[in-house]
Amino acid sequence: MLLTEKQKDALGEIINIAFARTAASLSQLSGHRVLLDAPEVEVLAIDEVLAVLGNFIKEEVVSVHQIFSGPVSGDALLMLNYEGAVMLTDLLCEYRVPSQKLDASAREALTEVGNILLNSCLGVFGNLLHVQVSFSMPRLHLENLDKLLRSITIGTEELRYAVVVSTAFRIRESAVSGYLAIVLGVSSLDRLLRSIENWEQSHYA
Amino acid sequence: MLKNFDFNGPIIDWLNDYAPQGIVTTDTALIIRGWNRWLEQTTGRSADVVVDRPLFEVFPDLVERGLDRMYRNALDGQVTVLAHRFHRYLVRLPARPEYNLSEMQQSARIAPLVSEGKVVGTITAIDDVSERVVRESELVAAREEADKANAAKDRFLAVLSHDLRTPLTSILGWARIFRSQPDEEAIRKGAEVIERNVGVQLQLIEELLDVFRISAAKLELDLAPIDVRETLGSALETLEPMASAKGVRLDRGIPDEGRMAVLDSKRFQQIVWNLLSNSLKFTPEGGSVGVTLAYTDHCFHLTIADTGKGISPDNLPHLFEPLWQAEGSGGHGGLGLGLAIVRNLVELHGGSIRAESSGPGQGSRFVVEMPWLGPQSGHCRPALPSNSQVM
Amino acid sequence: MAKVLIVDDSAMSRRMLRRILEEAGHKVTEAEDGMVAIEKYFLDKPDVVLLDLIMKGMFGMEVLQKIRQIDERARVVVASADIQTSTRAMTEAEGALGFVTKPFVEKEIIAAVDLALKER
Repeated sequence: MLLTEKQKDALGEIINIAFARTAASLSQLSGHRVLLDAPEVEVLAIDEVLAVLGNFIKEEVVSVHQIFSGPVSGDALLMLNYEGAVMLTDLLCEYRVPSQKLDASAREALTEVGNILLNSCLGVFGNLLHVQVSFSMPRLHLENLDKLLRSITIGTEELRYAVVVSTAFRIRESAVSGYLAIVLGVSSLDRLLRSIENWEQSHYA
Repeated sequence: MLKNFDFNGPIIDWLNDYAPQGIVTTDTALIIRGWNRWLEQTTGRSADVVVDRPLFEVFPDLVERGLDRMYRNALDGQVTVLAHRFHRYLVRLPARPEYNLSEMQQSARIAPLVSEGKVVGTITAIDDVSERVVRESELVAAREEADKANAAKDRFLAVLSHDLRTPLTSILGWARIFRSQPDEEAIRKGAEVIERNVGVQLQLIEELLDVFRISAAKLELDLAPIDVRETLGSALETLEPMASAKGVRLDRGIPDEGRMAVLDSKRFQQIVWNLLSNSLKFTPEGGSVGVTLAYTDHCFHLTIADTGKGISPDNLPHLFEPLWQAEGSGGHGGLGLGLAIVRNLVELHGGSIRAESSGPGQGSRFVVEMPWLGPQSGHCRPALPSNSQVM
Repeated sequence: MAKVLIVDDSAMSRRMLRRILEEAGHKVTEAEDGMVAIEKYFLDKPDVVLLDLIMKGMFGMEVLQKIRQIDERARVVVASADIQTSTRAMTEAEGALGFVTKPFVEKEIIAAVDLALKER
């Protein structure tokens, strides 16, 4: 199921707004200027995701995961590779000596970063698209991408799709690439796209 | 009615009493409805004093810090994670006395309480992460120390390889000249240079070995009663030619009376020799190096003062550190181990050493205090730190 | 009634802005990235440029700087979802005459363009 150019564009704009809010929150939190790159949006079938992300995430993926439910339901994830996760927490928390590992404090900080990003998307779906969803508690996972994707799709019958957004966090002259993935079933995806089209038609007030 | 969500259920009771974290619940008007034992113990406020009061009245600084926004988000169904690294704490509580912290370090989560699809209140969970924070910062400090030590080691190795090679280059050069029919003059000059360089290299190696021996605690003193003046006398004799060649006067203030001290003769010689040659090195032509010996009840004081380069206040605290080389002293060669070895040897004898200087260009003084009766006597240990700047 | 150059990599945004500006009586040209924008500025000489900051390829800030280099009297209004005050301050420092946020609010855009036209 491919998006039309129009749909891709609109989805990108919505997510861009969520990213801008995320960047503002992170700037406030860290005391540094944080920017998020313009989102590149793709919609893939769930089994294509492994191939697309495989180059970026070689072994373990560090992901912050929230389940959302409502008129659209599914799983939202912020995904980073291990080095990226370490670097991002170092940049945001200003460590004097660069870390080699994600310790408990770093994992917690990363969970908050993911929570902020995913909540922004939620907020934007709610405010602009009038699609009220509620999110579960965020969970940090450290595992194989393959395993992660399988654990998300287990027990669902519907064909699952993923809206995959690639971006980068820019802080203090460094950039950390990452992916946002919104995994949902066909009907949720359909509903989401329709509400985006409604937004495009009628949003300027 | 709230069928499946009974505040008085036995599970809730158990969590209330035993959960290892603070749990406070509110209704949709943000009035406190639940306050667990952890919170009672850490805040000193019991539940009946706090329940039914507005959350922001009990914790007004939540509003000051802008965290009230998280509660309004919770009422909209949103979950907020507050990581320690970003927020330090949610509510201000005292830290346990065993940690050197100004307040309890916390992480928290603020979430809606949902029943049958509707938000019926909020729940806040607070974790005391003080111990984790202290441990993590200790790890970081240890890593920094290790990095610094590694950097020092790298510097040391760089200097070492340079300084060990330099004399050899000279020797090699002259060996080549010797191979191609040198004349008498060249032979004499070459032999002189070779001898000198071998001497320098031997000394470097000795210093290195000393450092290793000391650091491996393998250095053992060969203690015996000796007359301090004798050792001093012979060191001064050996140094005389060098001093006069340089145009530096050697002054002595040594008592007529002889006294025996328990010392390792060879090592004491090393101490005296190092200090004297150090002072001589840094004293220009026309200056003087003075050696004074004084007796007290428990110790003897050996003072070596020079009118030379002096020591800047920045360098004074680092003088006896191994591998420390003051800026611009590189030209004098050596690995910067001499004074560190001296201090180690002095302290092994149960004594102390300190350096004094009024500043660059104003000369320096080294004062060594050693117990008569050897390292076991317990006297003459440094009362002040090993170095002091005395005007 | 002015010539406005819209610079945004989102076709949807460009459509929206065109609708808003044409309804207010302005003449609109479009550019979908920084390089094209600079070219079009040179050729069309618009009265106002409405520039999106976050674009793939050349960053909006660079485009702002380059246009102001070509013509120090250029009137540029910046559009962005980025709400940070530091961003706004940076664009003002680079000579932008206005800042509108995304999602677009029609009145805000018209007002910003009018204000920019009055500036010079």
